[in-house]
Amino acid sequence: MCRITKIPRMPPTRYKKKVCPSAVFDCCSRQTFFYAPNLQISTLLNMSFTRQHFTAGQQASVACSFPWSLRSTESANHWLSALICPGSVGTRSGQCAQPGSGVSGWPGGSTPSSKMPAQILVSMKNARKSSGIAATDQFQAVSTSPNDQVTNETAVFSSKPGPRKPESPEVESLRALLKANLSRETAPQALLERIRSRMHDHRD
Amino acid sequence: MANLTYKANSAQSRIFEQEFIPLLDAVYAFSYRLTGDRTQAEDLAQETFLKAWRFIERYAAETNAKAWLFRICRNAFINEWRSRQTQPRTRDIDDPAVKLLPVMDSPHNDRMGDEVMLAINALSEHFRTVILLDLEDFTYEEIAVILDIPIGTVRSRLHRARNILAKKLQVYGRSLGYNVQDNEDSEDAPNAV
Repeated sequence: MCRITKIPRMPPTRYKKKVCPSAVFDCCSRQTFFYAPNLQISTLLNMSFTRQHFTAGQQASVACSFPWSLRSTESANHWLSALICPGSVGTRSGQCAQPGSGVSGWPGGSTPSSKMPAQILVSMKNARKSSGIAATDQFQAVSTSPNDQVTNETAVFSSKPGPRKPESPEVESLRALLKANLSRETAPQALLERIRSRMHDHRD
Repeated sequence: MANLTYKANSAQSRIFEQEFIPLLDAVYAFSYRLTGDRTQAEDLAQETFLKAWRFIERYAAETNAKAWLFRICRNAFINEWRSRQTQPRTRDIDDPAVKLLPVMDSPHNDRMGDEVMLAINALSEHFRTVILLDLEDFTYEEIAVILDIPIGTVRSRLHRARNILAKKLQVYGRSLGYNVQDNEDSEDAPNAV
């Protein structure tokens, strides 16, 4: 399974449903690949940017971080390996280097030959329609939200409560009004005694 | 072995007494505002604490006991209290307690005239819960975990609930010297849900 790092600033659910880099650069599935020998990397990325999978912010972040000066096939292969399958960079057994993929080696393994065409796996159509794979199957590469939720919960429950950040004066004024006028209910003593006696019952 | 169990129970009892019991008033007040009834609030608070006791081994000492208890309380309310409310209450007509019931069995009968309480009670349950947790000084992240909703939803609900309250309490708040403004039309609304 190709591991794809989670792109920040995107809510997990939205990212899961609408943005799937694996759908753009599908390096794990071999069903619907576009064979693009010696095609300029920038052209491919531009094509992929026209797809709906990337938001404007992600396009910008990828575009800004991509070294457009790289033109050679070798450099481009190296760079794309990091872009597409970060987990497989530096390993020959990376899943991007599947037989027939054309990307047979990466830095750390054998050096790609300059004669070897850059075969870049890009699905040109809507991934859900063209691959025949359920969208949810492809989205498994993305870290799922339940894990995030667990982490979040753990972080909140396992740490001491931090101080609340004050908000705008209007909000603070409204909060002060609400707090001052909200009756402070106190638990009856009988409730406390009842809880303590039931606690001992539970223990027994 | 028995000695170890006793020591574990002793440590758990100490955690319960030192960290949970001081929060009984806060949990009871939250329960009361959720259920709208003092008797039900007592039952809900009791159930919250008994559940906390039952699962106390999952709690790490000196961490966020308040958020933990409020989460249990809210879940207990969702799971059991709300389903109970849908069932009709039955009482024996010969029960003398029936004759002692007030004429209007309104949960907030004694709060009539209290503008703030009325305004909060008029909120829908989603908005009311978020506002009540905010007034307990929970952070957005804590509220999100307690209610099991995304933090953007917390922001959105809080923003809308505050706007509703500000609109209702604008005159009342100003008469008391508070700078309450209705920002409903402002463009800086948080993420919509």
